[in-house]
Amino acid sequence: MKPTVVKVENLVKRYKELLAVDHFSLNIIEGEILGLLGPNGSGKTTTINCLLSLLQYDKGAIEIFGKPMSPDRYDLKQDIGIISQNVAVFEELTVYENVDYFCGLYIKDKLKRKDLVNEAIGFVGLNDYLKFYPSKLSGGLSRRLNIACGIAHKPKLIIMDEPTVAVDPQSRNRILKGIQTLNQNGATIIYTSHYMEEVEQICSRIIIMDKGRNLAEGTTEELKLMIKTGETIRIELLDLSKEHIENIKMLKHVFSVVFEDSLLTVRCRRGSHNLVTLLNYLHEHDINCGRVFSELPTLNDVFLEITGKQLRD
Amino acid sequence: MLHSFKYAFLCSIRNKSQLFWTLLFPIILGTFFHFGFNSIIENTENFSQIPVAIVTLTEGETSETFIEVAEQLVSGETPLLNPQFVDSQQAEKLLENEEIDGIFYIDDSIRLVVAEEGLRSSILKQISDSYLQTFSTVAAIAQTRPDLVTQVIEDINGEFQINREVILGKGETDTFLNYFYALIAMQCLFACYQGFYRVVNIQANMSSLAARRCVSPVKKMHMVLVDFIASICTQFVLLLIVLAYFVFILGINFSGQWGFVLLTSFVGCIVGVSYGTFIGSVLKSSKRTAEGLLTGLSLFLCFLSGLMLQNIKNVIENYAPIINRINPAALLTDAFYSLTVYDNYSRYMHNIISLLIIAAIFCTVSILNLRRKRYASI
Repeated sequence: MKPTVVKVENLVKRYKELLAVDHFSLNIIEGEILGLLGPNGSGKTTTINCLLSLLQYDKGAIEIFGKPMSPDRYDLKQDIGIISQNVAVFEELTVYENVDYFCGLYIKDKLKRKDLVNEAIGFVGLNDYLKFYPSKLSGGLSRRLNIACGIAHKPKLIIMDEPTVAVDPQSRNRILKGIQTLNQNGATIIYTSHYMEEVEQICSRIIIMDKGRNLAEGTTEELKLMIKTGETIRIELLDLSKEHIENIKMLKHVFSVVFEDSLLTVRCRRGSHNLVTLLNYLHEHDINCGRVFSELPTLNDVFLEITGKQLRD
Repeated sequence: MLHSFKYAFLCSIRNKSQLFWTLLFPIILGTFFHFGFNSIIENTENFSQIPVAIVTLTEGETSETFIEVAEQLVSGETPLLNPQFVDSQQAEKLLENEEIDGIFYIDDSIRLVVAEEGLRSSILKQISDSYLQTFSTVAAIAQTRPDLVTQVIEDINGEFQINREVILGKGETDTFLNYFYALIAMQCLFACYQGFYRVVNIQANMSSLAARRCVSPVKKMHMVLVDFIASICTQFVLLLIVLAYFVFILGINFSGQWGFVLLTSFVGCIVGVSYGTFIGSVLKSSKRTAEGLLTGLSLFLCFLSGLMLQNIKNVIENYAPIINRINPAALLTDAFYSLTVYDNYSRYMHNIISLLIIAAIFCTVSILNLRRKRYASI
């Protein structure tokens, strides 16, 4: 059985009247990519900051690598890499110097450090920008530099707090692939984001957070199984009477029917032939269809059903 | 340690805003001071020697006395007149050619002719009036109490010898040099930017960069110390550049006591950096607000030390001397001043010790604030 890398129990953090983290617990097993998914203000970053002993918290216990985490646990910090939401580098240092500086905080051996710095820069694809200052880099390249600074010392636990905010699609894909490679190389990763597609793409396990609480936890498939929606069918129609809407609601597995702006949206429970059943009904009643879409549930549906609101509200 | 020091030094030396305030600004201001003061000095020197012609129309007691007075005004460290003894034709020609500013005609009395109104002609008129007044006073006494004439003449001659310059110290009290001292004090205080920026990058609640540094396995106090030393070194290097510019380019003479000048500058850098560290550790406002406060406060302290108005320090000394005792800029300028004026180092050492105490207070409060490891909010 793989060891637990991070263990958080009943974490509570208040900012005066605001309860930012509400009895939050989690366990991360070695080799996992754990996604913390939640809208802005849901408590993801606060949880991370408590985890790193940067923030005081009101209640709870945090263990990293099986030992209680505190600001003085330099032995634990040695194996942690942090990639923050904002690009946290020195504007006065070049790409190479920045990576070398942060790597130097962990690795004292000069020769070993040189290799690690070059490896990290190569990993994020900044070889052609070694002497560039951060202000001369594009948003995507700056993010890559931010990542290189956090991973150069080869940490066992990497904490990434929304590393792809305001990044172009090309850089985003590169970053996501990089994260998977780091994981394959043995790093355990905590990845916070409010982009469900990213979390779905790379995370082996996901925790959905809102208002500081752990609302649901599991793999993507497990989370999708937790909700009622098994399939969402959308059909373009010119018109549909109330009688037909009521009839469609009576079809097998259907639990929600909405007709708005010439678009019929039907949500069904898990079951086979939902689409065929619906199309047969429309055909039998001579209702002409436009385009037809059938979608399996997404994390957004999961979030919507659990919290009653869209993830990007 | 060296690794962190190297990058802290590079960061400081490459920060353009800091470089402007701590290197370019003192150089620009020093250059303005230099040319401004030179112009004043040149004008002063031009006043001191006014070319005049002395034309003796009638030989006698009056001509002898006035020529004696004129000779007195030619001698001394700062001669006032540059007289030519010529006849009236030559004198008029010289005046016409603007080679002289006036003509003294001597017969029974003296008569002054000037080319045009101005400061120089006013001085010549003052000399003429003063002479005539004294001459008539002596003549009146000679008529009423002839026995006192010799005594009165001796007293008049003696008047010029009553005020004698007594040098208590080294005697190098160049007023303009004080402005350069205040300028160096200002540069030392501007080291606060170095201290401030470094301390912002070490408190996790102030920047993401600081948060990243705080989660590294390096002790916070170690980082604070390295940053502090690097900031002082950077500032001292910049100060050496400015001093070199003042001495070798502008030709300012700092009394030749280089060891003490450098020591004062170094202590000034320590005070400046600790002052910035202190502000950065106690102030929880935005970077811009803090920068504004640092600039405003530094310039105000320099103003009180005489950077803009030389006499302000003396006024403060008369009405609120405690301000001069706790104002680092005033202590720095006073340390420099006492180096050039006094022939012992007691006042200088008093200033240096006061500066070190102020730096120690700033550092202690900063450490107490910075040692916090967890923050209530980020």
